[in-house]
Amino acid sequence: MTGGVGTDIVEVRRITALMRDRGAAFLERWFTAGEIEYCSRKAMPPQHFAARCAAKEAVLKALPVAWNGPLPWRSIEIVNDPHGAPSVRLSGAILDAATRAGVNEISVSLSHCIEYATAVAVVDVTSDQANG
Amino acid sequence: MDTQIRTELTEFIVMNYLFGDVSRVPRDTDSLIDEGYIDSTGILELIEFLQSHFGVEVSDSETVPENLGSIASLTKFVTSKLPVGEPSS
Repeated sequence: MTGGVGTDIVEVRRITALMRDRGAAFLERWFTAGEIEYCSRKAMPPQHFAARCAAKEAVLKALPVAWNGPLPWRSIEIVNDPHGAPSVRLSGAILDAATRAGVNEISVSLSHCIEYATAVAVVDVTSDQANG
Repeated sequence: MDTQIRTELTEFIVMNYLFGDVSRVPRDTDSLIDEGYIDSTGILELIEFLQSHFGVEVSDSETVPENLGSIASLTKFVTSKLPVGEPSS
């Protein structure tokens, strides 16, 4: 059963500026090692990092969780299969909260162009949790 | 020092998110997120600004609304992280 939908959009130029000004410190704070490796080998890394920023925020919006804790960006990891299809891997406190809320699966779709990156997340929850 | 920090934080918000429009400056306790002053990318920019401009380290556990949610909470947070008597920049 669908439990929630989230979306977000990010200006690529702002991520480009953060990468330029803060370098590895910025990337390592907000992205996992796997995300950094994946995005860094793309022709235009800022677009891919921006898409992941959008996806993390979209997932947080879609989760049936009132999150007031620290920003969980590294705990909402966007992973890609060998064909490039993205999926979401939660960890830490946000995983615990999602599990308690009955989250079964999270689907995510990312897109980007030169100026913007966007993402949509759809959360599937168990029917007991969705009804109760 | 509080006044200087508050002024520099306000300038950052006005210049980056309000197109320089000082007539729209948030009040000290206004929620920067809930009232639409900054977006999710803005939170990342704000945290990086605290580190680069004020030289304060922001740990993951400190990235919470109690520290970052308003100009008042940001000022209190930055002030608490700076050594007593040391200029902010």
